[in-house]
Amino acid sequence: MGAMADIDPERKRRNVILAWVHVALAAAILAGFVYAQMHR
Amino acid sequence: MAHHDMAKDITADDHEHGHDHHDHGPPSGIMRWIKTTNHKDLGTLYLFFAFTMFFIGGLMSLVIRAELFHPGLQFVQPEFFNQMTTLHALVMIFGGVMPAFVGLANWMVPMMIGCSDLALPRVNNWGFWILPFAFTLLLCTLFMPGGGPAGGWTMYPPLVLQTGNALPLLIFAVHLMGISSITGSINVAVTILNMRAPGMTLLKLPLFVWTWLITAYLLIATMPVLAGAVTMLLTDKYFGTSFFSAAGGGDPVMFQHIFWFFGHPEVYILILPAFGIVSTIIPTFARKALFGYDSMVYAVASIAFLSFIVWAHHMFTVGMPLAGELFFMFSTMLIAVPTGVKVFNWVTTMWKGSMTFETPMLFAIAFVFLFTLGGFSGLMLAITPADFQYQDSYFVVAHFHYVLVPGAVFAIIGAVYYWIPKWTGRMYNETLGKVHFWASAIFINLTFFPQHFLGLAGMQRRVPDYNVMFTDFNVWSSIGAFGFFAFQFVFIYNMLACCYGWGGRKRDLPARVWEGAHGLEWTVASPPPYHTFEDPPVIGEGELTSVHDDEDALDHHKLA
Repeated sequence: MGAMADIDPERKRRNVILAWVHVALAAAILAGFVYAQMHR
Repeated sequence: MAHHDMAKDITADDHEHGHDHHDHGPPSGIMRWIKTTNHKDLGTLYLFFAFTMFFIGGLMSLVIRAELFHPGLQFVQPEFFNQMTTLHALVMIFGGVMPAFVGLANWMVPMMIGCSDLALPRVNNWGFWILPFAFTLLLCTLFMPGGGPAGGWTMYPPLVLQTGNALPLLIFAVHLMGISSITGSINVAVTILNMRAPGMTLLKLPLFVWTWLITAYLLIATMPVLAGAVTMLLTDKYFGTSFFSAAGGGDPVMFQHIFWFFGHPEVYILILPAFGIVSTIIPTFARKALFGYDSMVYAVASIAFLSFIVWAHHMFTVGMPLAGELFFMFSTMLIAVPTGVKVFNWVTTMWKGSMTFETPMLFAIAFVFLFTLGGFSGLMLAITPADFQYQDSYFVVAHFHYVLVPGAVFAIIGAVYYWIPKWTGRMYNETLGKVHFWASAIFINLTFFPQHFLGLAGMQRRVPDYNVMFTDFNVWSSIGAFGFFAFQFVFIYNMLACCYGWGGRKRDLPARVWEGAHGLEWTVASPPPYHTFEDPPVIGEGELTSVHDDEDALDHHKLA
């Protein structure tokens, strides 16, 4: 059982949402890069 | 020593400190380290991994310096020499400096902002355990027919496409390093944004946390670009595309633009956390608040922004329109402004401080002086017409080693000296620390200062042989490199002695190991319990004064 079990569920939920927002940011940068390379 | 002994030694169990109501103590054995999601464990793993990589990359640099001790070919063939220069860079950058900073962030960010762990502990475990596989892939290319990659860490086509079977392994290793960096940086960013203790507003964050937050965004923004670029190399080599092949309608220079769009922010990924470390150490040993906290934050943000619009200063000689050359020259020179703000603030923090010179402070002061020296040669390189002379010479090698070794590496060493009493509860040997510092400072200058003259005189980088007129400076440089490497064993002994309690070192340190230190990390025991701040801490009056007491600083001046 880790320390994270003790933090409030709302904060844990925000952690996960924020993490996915950042993953989406990285994916968008990669997609933009691929798009730019295909259309130059 | 077996892993479970280290487990017991490095982090005290909960019962000793009574901070925890649950049975959260670390399990024993090797599985603790494989399965751990604890930020302190993973910080330790990152740091051990980084120092292993520093050792391997250091051995490669010794091969390079042994070969360059005299003109002519002595020890290795040119092909192997090129593999050494390529892998030395990749190992030091992606295996040494970056994991070391992630390790320091793992250990310190949760303790500095008052939370129990990073926001995504399992992702943290995954991010670390990717790295040994990535570097096994990369280093095992040395044992393949044709050897490892030898086209330089910048992987420019068409040269890199001549790499044999090592190329896909190199590219997959870079992908893995990228995944590890992105997961690590997302974790740090989410932790800082969402896990701060009540009252820890953004402009009260310790500078190390601020610099890491900005570094995390640099990583998230640039690592996908590197991944895309190396994937295009892969398809050019094996799937018949012509992204970078002029014969097929592609453009090899485009790779350089893409690579350096990643590569220049990467330079700041390697140095911004070092700025944070120095901004933490100097106020402690000057016993004054950091001068100009807000301006430090804005300077770091400005440097991060500028890092995205300077990339083509790495390619002045490749053939760009004049307007492009001028833009990249002036934008590069602009970086001197926020960097100058930072250097001014560090010096002003020390001004009229009650300074003492413990080992972390010595490394921090050396950082300020020698990093600035590397910055000055950077300004010289930024001048486009002058760069036509300096391009691909040893002057460039001297420049980036000054900012990376007495810059980033000295900051990492200073950080380990500064925080290892907190991590282990045992004080390092100060005499050995000072011996290590002075030997490192002398030998590192002996290694890299002569390389300025070699470059100005026309010695090319990435060559195993050279004209006899360059011999003397190369001899000095090689002696310096071997001396620097040898004295790092003093450091390793000193640190391991703290971890394992060698020489009868007792765990007798108070929570606030350094009397001038401020911040939440100094309010928990030394060593800290396995889980800290499971209940959000109350930030004591004055605990964060290291970041915000300009009034106190002014009073100090009046008293002085």
